[in-house]
Amino acid sequence: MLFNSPEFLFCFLPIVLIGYFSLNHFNQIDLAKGWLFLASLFFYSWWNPMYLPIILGSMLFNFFVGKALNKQKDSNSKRWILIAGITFNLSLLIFFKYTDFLIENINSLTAGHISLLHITLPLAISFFTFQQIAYLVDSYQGLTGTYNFFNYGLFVAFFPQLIAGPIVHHSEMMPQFYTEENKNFSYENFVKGLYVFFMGLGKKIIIADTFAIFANHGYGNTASLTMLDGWITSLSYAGQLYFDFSGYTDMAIGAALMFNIKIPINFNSPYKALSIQDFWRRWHITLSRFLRDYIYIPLGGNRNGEFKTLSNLMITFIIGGIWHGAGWTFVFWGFLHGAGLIIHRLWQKTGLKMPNIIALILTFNFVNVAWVFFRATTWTDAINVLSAMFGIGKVWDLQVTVLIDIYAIPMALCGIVLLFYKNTNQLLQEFSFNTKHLASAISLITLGMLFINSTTANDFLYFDF
Amino acid sequence: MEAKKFLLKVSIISLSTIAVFVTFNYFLDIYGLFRPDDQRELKVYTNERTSKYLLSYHYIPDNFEGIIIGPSLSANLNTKTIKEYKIYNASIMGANISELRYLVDNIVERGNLRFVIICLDPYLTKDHGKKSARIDPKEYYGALGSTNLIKTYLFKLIRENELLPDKFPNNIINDYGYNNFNLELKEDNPREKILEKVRQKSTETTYVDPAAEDELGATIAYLRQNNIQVIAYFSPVPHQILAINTENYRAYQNRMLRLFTEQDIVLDLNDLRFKAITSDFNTYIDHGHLSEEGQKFVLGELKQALLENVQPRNLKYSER
Repeated sequence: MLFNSPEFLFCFLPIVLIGYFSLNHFNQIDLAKGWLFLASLFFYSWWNPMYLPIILGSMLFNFFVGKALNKQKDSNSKRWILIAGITFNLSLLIFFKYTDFLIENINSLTAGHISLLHITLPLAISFFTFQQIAYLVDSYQGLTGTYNFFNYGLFVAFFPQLIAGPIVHHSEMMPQFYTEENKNFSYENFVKGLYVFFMGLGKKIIIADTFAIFANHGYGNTASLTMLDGWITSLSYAGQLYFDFSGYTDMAIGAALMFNIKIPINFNSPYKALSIQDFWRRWHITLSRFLRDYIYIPLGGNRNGEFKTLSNLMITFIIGGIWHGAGWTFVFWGFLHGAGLIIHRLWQKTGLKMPNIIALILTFNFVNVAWVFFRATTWTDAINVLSAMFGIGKVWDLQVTVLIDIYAIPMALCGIVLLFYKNTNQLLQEFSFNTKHLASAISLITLGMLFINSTTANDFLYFDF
Repeated sequence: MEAKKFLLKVSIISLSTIAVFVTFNYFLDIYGLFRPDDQRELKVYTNERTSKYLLSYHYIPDNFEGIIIGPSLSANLNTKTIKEYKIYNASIMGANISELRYLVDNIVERGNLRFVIICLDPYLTKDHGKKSARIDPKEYYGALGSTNLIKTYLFKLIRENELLPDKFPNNIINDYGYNNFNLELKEDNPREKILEKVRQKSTETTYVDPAAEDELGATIAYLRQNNIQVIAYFSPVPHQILAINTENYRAYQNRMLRLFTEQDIVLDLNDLRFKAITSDFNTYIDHGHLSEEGQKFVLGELKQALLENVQPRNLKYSER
C-alpha cells in the first residue's frame, strides 16, 4: 500500500487511527499496540503476502537473540551470540539481495554459466535488517530493555517507517509507545501530522513525479542526449530523488505524528550542503547515523591515525553504496562519496577556506555527477549521460529533447525554487494554528487530492533499495 | 485558534472546496459520463487517448451504431460524411490493439453496436500493452477533478474561442471522433517523402508482435460472439513503397487474414485494382497518412462494404 494511494488515505489510515485511539480510550493498551502491530503487518503484506513470513521470522529471531543477549552474563558467550545474530541477518540480506549479483560476478570471472536464481527482493528488507542489527549490537552493549514481542514487533514494523525508513533506533521509539500521554488522541499532533503528511504528498506527486518524466526519458535514451539534455536529465534525477525520498519521509513523519509518535528527521536541505561531509549530515540522516555508529566507529573511526581514518571512511561508504543496490554502479557511487569525504578531510587540514557559494556549487555538482552512477542501470548509460553533460565526443548541440511534456515544466521550476526554500522541519517548527497556516493546509490538501485523482500512484524510489 | 477548531476549519473548507469543484465537473460532464443525454455533441480537445477512452463509457455506445478502430492511419477518416450510418472514429494516434481493446470492451458492453471497422496496418500489432497510463479505469474518477480535466478545460477555452488558431485550431477532433490532424501538421510534400523512402529502399516494418496478434484475434472473436459485424481493411500504402516491400507486406497480410473467418469482411485497399489511387501522391499527406482525396477513397470503399452488408437503420434495402 502506498502512502499516496486512495486506499491508504481513505481506508487504512482512518481505520487504524480510530481503532488505535478507541482501544487506548477504553484502557486496552496492549490491545491497542497489538492492533497497530497487526495493522502494520497488513500494510506490509498488501504488496505481497509471501513476504510476511520473512519479516515475521526475522523479527522473532532477533527478538529471541536480543533476549538471550540481555540475559547472558558471560562476555565470550555474548560475543558469539551477537556474531551469530549478525551473521543470520546479513545472510538473509545477502541471499535475497546479492545472490544474483554474486553469481553474475562469479560467471564473469570464471566464464561459468551458473544460472541466476532471479530472487525477488522482499520489500524493506534492507531497512528492517539494519534496524535489527542495531538492536542486537545495543543489546550486546546492555543498552536495551526487556520488551515483549508485540512491543518489539511494533518498533520494527510500525508502518510509517517500515518500508523506507527513517531507520529508527529502539531508544527513540520504544519509550514513546510506553508514554502515558501518547495514548490519547492529540488534536495538535494530528493537525501537525496531517500538515507534514500533505506536504510530503505534494513533494512526491506534484514535484518528484514531474521530475521523473524528464529523468526517465533521459535515462531511457542516453545514447541520443545532447549536452543540455544531459544536464536536464541528471538534474531532474537529483530533484526527483530528493523530493521523492524526502516526500516519503515527510509522509512517514506525518503519519507517525498522528499516532503521537515522533520519528527522526531524515533530510535537512541536503542540496544546501557546503561540503560532502555536510551533505551526509543532511541527506538520509538516519542511514548516515547507522553507518557511523555501527560500521565506521566499530572499524576504529578516527582513533587509529590518519591513514586508517581515511580507509575507514572509504570502507563505510562502499558498504553504504552496496547497501543501496546490488551492482557495481552502486559500489562506484559509494566509492565516489568515500573519495569525496577523503578529499574534503585532506582539504580541511590545509586550513584553506572556500567562499560558501563556490563550496555549495562544487558540492552540489559533485553529488549530481555521483547520482548518475546511482541512477544509471548500466555503465554505458552512466558514461553516456556524463559524456553528454561534459560534451565529450559530442557535437556542440543545444537542442533539448528530454522536456517531453511542456506542461510539466512549470511544476519542475517550482521544485527548483523549493530546493532553496525552508524545508519541512523548519516549516513544522514555525507551524502555528493561525490563518496563514490554515490557508496553506487547505491548499496542500485540495491540491494533494487533485493530484491523487490525476495519476496512477507511482512507487517511491527507495522501495527498490 | 486552538488545534480542534483549526482541524474543523481545515476539514470543512477543504471538503467544501472539493465538493464544489466535483459538483461543477459533474454538471459540466465534458465526457458524457454522468448525465444521460443523447443529444450532446462531445468533442475531444486534448489528450486523445484519455478523452476517447472516457467517451467510450457512455457517449459512443449511446449515440453510435458502429466504430472504426486503428492508429493514426484511420484517425483522420471523417465518418460524419457517411450519412447512412452513425460511426464514431475511435482510432487513436499511436495506439496499438491492446489500448484500443479497452475502448472496444466499454462500447460493446454498454451499447448496441452493429459493426466495427478495423484499420489493418503493421503499426496496430507491432507491440502490445498500454503505452502510457492515459487509458486507465481510474481516469473515470479523474473526470470529477484531475489535472487532465483542468488541461482539457483550458484547451476547450483556447480552441473554441480560437485564441491560438494556428497552433490549436478549433474542431481538431469532432463529435464523430474524426481527428483532423492535418490542421496541426506542417505542410509536407508527399511526393518527396514517398520517393525519399523509395530512394532509401526503406522497407516499412511489417513485424507482428505475437501477443498483439493474439489480442487482435481475441478482439475479433469477441465481436463475433456479440453478433457484431467485423469489417477490416488494409490501409492503403503508397504503391511506390509497397513495390519495394511487396513480399514482406503480403506475408503480413496473410498472417492477418488467418484471424478472420468467412463471416467477416476484409478489404484489401492495396489490391492492384486500386493502383491508380495508391500510386497517386495526392492520396497522401506524407509517406502514409491520407490526404482528403485518400480519405474519400477509403470512406467510399467502407461505405460500399457497409451498404452491402449492414442494413442502414434509416434506409430499407429496397431504397438503397
